Amino acid sequence: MPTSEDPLSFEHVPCPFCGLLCDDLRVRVADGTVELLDGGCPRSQSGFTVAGDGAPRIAGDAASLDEAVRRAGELLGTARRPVVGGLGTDVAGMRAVLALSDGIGAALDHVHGDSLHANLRVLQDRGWITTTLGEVRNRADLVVVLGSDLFDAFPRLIERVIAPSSAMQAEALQARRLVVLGGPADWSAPATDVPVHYQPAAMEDLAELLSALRCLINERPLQADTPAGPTLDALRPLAEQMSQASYGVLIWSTPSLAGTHKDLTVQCATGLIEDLNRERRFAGLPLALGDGDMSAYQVCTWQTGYPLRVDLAGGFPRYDPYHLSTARSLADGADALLWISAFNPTHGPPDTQVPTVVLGRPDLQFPHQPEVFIPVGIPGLDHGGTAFRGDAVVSLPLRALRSTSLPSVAAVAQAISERITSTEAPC
Amino acid sequence: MLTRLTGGALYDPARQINGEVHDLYIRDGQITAAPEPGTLVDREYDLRGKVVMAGAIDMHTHIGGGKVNIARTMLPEDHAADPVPRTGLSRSGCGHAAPSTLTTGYRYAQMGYTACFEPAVLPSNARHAHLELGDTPMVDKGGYAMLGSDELLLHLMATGTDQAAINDYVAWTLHASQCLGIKVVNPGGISAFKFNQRELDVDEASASHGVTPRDIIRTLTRAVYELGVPHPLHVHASNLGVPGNFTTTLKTMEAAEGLPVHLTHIQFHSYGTEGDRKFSSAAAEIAEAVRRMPNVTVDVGQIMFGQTVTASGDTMHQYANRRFAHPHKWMCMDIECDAGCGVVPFRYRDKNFVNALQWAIGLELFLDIDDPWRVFLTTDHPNGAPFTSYPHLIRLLMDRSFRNEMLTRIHPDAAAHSRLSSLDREYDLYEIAIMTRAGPARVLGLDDRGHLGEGATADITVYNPDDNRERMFETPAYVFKDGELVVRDGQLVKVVYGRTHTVHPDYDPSITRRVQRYFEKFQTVRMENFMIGSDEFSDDGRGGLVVHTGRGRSEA
Repeated sequence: MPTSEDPLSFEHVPCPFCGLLCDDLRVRVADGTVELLDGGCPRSQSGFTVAGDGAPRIAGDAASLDEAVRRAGELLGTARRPVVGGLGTDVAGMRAVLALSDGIGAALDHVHGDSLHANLRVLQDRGWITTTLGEVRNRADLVVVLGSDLFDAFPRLIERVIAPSSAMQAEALQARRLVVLGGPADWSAPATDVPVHYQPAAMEDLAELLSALRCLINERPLQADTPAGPTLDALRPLAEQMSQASYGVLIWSTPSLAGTHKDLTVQCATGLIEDLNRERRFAGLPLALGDGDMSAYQVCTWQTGYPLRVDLAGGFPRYDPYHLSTARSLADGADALLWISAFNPTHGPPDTQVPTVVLGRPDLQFPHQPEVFIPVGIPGLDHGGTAFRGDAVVSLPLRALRSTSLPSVAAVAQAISERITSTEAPC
Repeated sequence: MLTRLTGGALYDPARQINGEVHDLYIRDGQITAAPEPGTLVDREYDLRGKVVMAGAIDMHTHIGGGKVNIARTMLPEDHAADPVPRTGLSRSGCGHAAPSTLTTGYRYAQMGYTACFEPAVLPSNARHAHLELGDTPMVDKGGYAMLGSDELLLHLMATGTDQAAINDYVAWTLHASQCLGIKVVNPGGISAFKFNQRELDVDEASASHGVTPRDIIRTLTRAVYELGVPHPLHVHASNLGVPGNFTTTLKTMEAAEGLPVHLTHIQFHSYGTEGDRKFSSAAAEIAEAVRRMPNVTVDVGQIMFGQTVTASGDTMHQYANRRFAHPHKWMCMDIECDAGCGVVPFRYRDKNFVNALQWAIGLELFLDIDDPWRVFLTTDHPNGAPFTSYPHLIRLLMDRSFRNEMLTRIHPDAAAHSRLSSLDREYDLYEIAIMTRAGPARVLGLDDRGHLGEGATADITVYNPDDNRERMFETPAYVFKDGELVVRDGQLVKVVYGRTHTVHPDYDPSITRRVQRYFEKFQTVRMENFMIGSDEFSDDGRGGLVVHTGRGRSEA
């Protein structure tokens, strides 16, 4: 771990602040401050910039780490219906949080739980055909993106995946077209070597638009002349392009899909993709946003069998993707909340009267002071770790770029577990 | 600390011990020679009247990695029927077809298994697989890295790269993925499916690279052999599940050209096309080929009736089999120009002709292949059945009357089409010990496992003899892991973590520059981050890494 005050340079640095998990950053670190020399983007810039003093607090007053852990242990260890939310952490953090949750019988959900489950419901109900970033980069001759705001969520998607400098299937890259479906009329596509076609549409109309495309592709009659806005004739060229693509890809990220039934839009997309595979190849790419969502999902699934929204209160895992969202759990009689956000300073705990323990970045924003706040290190900046990428397959080693005294989520969760166990032990 | 296991009947085929009574001594986690007379024994277990074997080894079981976690995600209804409560000792989880990692470890140990190997580790997903194996307690573990549909190997082959450079790439892959062997799944077929090929037979060139599955098998068996990797190339052959595929399987065996090769879940590759339904058993032909080719080992991939889930790298055939999904949901994924995966839940029915015949074909293979050193007991968990069905399978192999009774329950036409009722063979305990211990240890190059000799790791399973072999193998009296008692009467008494086994053959590191260029030019991760460091196994306190080489081994 670097301790010198001289600037230190690092290469191949993974950035954990969005679902792309780019790992080609070159950074210089001096006095604990990270300067992005190469591979930076707005999200990495803000993610690697940390303010705050790192002192634990109890009810707003400075406290030692020991005192904060003890108070957290009291709150969580005596709760009848504890809830663990946020889950912005790495694999080691999630492992420790699950061990703690198993011990106290907590219900778990991620801050992106709604989005995750919009996708998971489709996977659990009918399945899908999907692909990964590396395949899109090297193989796609058609990329369809749902929602213009997807490019804000993944700032380097175009540079690294859609319009890269090289691809194994050079002809596919040569022929590649980008189609953006959905977004405001005044959005202008970013400049890129890949030709872009933009079809503005309200995000809540995408399910209809995708269904219309599905009808066109399958040469089925359609009652409407102007599904979701555009005329059928305006959609025909896209349907044609999709049918003719050798390897087409449809990318979505569920937060940008408006409406309460995001899973229906996803299902329209996956059904369309399924049909396109009868003759040619076409794949979906549901991109998870980041903030530890894929790491939390993966670890929770392999340790409990269920992909989050799981309640351990009965002594064994019980899954309910509807009733076990953090919001529902808090409204349904939760009496303690453990909130975790080590990546994103804007993902503070929900505004709730339920006594709350927060493990978060030192600069985490709060609606009001929680009962306990324990500042933690940021994986990939303050300590090493492992994180999953938004396409669910790749996981990468995160690195410590500077030395701080901030403990990891894993260390704090384990300390709280030990505190609770030692309190419960008979004297 | 010296432990004596007194008076048990040993079944230790590696040392040709067949039921003879010997005392065993354990010190520091290893089996040790009998001490000088008068040496103080700290702990003694009276094993008189009991059966003693080395801990069992599952050499092909899908227990960790991306496709297993997708299977878990897709099966909440299956988990809900088998909840696993936490205890003072163990964590909560779920069981049945795609159990949680913790439950997987507990249940393997409760059945007397002390080592498990995940056979389909995509290098691009290897870190994930190891994380899951790291959360699988009780057993030693390892994985086989998948090659053969990765674009780099296909490119190297298509451009006529010499065998030496390919060997270096194979060795680099083993280091980078920290695996114990190399697996090929539908050679070239996962890549071909991305190029929209829906079929690929052994001598068919892929449209994209002009490389045949035969080329790939020949090249990779040779690479593995020349690198001195103990485990032969592990082959999931072309045309899985396709009626008539036994000819493909025979050609696949021949493609190894006499070099060691392991054909996995051979049951799914032993189908003929005879009869009205154009589906028949070719177990006899396959067994005959195994007899004829001493370089070939197989595991069976037995199916059992009931709900399970199939999870495979073979996207081409998982996609083709999607219409059989039960419940009706399925997924396929193309992965990182590396490989792919497909998950199709499946319910094998005894009254379905094809399923019933699959069941019979698996048993025919077990009984027809006369060398238990070259056939291993697997259900290709969970693809043929969950691993928890092993005790039942053992009873089917050891008890002819039980087997014939089961045969009366399956689809009558399938029973009539099978030679099973005429096969009188019954496995004995010695043969079971070969196919579940000594054989897998030998084929994996695990010199200190699978036997009870001096210097062996003290992974030991003790059974109460019982004519009902299912009951006997379901509930061991004692299981020792690294010399510690971890299971008594089928119940956990201690939770431990086993180690991860990997092989690091020597190679010319100049291949690394080529691989690095490939990553920088085409991949979305850097090679430096793709490679899994040995330190990633030591940081979590979960048993660490055992590094094997072609010539010996060292502990890291």
